[in-house]
Amino acid sequence: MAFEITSQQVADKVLRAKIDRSLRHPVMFLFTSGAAWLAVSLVLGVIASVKSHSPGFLGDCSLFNYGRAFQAHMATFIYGWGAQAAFGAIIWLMARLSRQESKKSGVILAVGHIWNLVISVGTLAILLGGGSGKAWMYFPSWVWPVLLACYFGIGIWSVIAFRVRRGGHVYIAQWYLMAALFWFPWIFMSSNLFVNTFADAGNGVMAAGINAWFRSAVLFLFFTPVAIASAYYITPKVTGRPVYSYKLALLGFWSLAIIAPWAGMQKVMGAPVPAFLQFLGAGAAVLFIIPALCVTVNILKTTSGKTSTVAHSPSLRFTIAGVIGLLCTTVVGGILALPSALKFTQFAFGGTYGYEILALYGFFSMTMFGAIYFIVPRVTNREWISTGFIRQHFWLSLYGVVFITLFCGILGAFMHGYSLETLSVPGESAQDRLLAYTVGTTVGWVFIALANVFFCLHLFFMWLRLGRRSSHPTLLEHHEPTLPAA
Amino acid sequence: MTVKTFFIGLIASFALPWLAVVAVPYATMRAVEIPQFNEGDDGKTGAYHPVKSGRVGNGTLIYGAEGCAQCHSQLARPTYAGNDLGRDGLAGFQKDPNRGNTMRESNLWDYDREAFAWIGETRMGPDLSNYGRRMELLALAENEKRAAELGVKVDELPQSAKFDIEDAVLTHLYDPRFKNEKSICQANKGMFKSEPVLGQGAVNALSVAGKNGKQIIPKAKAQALASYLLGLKRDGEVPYAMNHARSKKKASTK
Repeated sequence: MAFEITSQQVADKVLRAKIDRSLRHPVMFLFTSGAAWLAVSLVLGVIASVKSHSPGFLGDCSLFNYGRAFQAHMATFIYGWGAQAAFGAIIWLMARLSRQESKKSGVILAVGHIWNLVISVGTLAILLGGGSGKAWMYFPSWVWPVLLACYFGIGIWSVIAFRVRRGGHVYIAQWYLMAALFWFPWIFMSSNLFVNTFADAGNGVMAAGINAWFRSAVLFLFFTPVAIASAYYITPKVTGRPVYSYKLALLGFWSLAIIAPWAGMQKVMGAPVPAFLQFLGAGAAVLFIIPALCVTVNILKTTSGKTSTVAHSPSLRFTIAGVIGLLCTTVVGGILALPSALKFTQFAFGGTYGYEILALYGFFSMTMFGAIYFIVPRVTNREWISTGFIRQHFWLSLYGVVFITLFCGILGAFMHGYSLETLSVPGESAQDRLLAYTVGTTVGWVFIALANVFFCLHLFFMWLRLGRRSSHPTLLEHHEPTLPAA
Repeated sequence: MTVKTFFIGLIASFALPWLAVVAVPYATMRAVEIPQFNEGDDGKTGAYHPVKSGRVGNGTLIYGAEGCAQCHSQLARPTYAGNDLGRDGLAGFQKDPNRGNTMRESNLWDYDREAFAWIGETRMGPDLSNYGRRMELLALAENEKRAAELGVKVDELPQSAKFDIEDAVLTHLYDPRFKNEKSICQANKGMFKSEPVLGQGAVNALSVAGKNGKQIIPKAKAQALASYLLGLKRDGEVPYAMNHARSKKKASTK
């Protein structure tokens, strides 16, 4: 069957190629340096996790004490890997959706270097005992203004691309990207000002409350919309279908915008901050199931009947796993936020950590891996080398994250929390109950670290432009042996 | 949906919760009115100002930097949020030798002079709200035991035989497994230096010896952190209006 290629299609293809070429260096830099930070974070995560059950591990070197290694592990995960993966996805998706090639890729690349330099110095400072100890704000207080300035240096060009977009149509993914670009600086600046810069002028307990709000807001209003935007872009592209329901997408977006900013302060339940803040936070965390359901249903319906495409396309497989991760995150988040459950899990090991890893790895990172498997071949003009590497990355990630978060984190949180809360159980026995789950978490991190050895190597090869020169995408197809006829 | 409507909706949907949850509570909590004791309810007058001791200013920074809050909470929750008031030693003591039942929930003034309240992430280690008080009572019990062994009164116990509360905390910071083999707390050996013993040894050396009989001397960080930890005593008397204990009685009815 012959296809007629119109001049419009040729022009579109040329434009897409121009956009991809214009963003090759910044996008590849952000993704590869993000992946390198993910590797650092995973090594630190394994060290922290081993230290949580075998404190003598690595001797008495203060550099890797549990308290410091844990802070560095989370800081590098969030700002080294998470933020950079998000930036890479934002600039590429926005350029493609706005049909505008980047004219400032050199600036983005330079600012990306500064971001990495600051994260390196900040991480060293944490390991040397200069961290702040405040969740998700672990770096010394001089770091955040530099990160914010870098964010503007990277993000502003995507806002401009949106302003001068061609075609006029605004896609669903663009709503989420614009919202993330708008929410992040507001959340990041105001929270850091209140908690760090004006720390002495405020109230310490309220600072802890704002810190709890900050981590929830960064998760729900930055990482979540970027991951959702990626899912809304990749799913129709790979399946070749339009998004299932525009109305559902609209409901999903606005319910996220309206509900998510109220969540967060349930983490300080029982602290002397106004009780309405704690219960508002709990309520919003439970209601977050609405936007999550809208997104999940919409994406899954878009892929319905295309199971083989989901199985064969690396980007779609990771994206769908991530979208299911979103649903798990919100269901688990809702259960954890119920005041009756919070009694047990608020201070239990895994109550917060397990949930955050589920959200950051099981949802956000999986979706970003999907985006990377989609974007990198386009910007490098090479195809992924090995389906085996991708398969190992997927399955080890999936088993690792499910084991860490659902089994060790959440189940462990209820078991640990039960012994903390039940007065007939001596306080000391809580630690005995904890052991199985902390050891299990270490095993899970080893799985994830292994998964990312495959991912990082693969991405590094692609960065060196060692990918396959082929017009056929890398698909995870099983080749069944054909048996001779009987 | 036009782009203009989109941005108006975005700003409105975020600004309202930001104001209600973050900005306004931050501003109002900066200057909360100090509760007062009153004659009828408390039998005394004056402002409520819990006494703080120890090096809170730099101790709290070291506590944060070392990630102590990752495993230790500092919060006695009200009953709606947890059972902390049922744990003796966490929220105060049921039988404090001098003051009777001192169990109470944490209040805003317990975190005075700390720019960030270390509510805590987990309780992989014990809650530290009343760590200083627990150590005080431990010292009291230990001194009574030692006095009984020597057949003297507690007051007559020689200084060298007394339980050294600061040494106990510093030894824990140096190596938590000296006293408790099962502890998973981190050893902070970087906060100490070990030196050969010269003459009678340093006055501030720990009672335990390091490798090859070397003396272990705490650095400034360890001393500040120990001082901060020993200052954690959040079981003081609160005005009647802030006291949520069922058994509370007005001074006028006592």
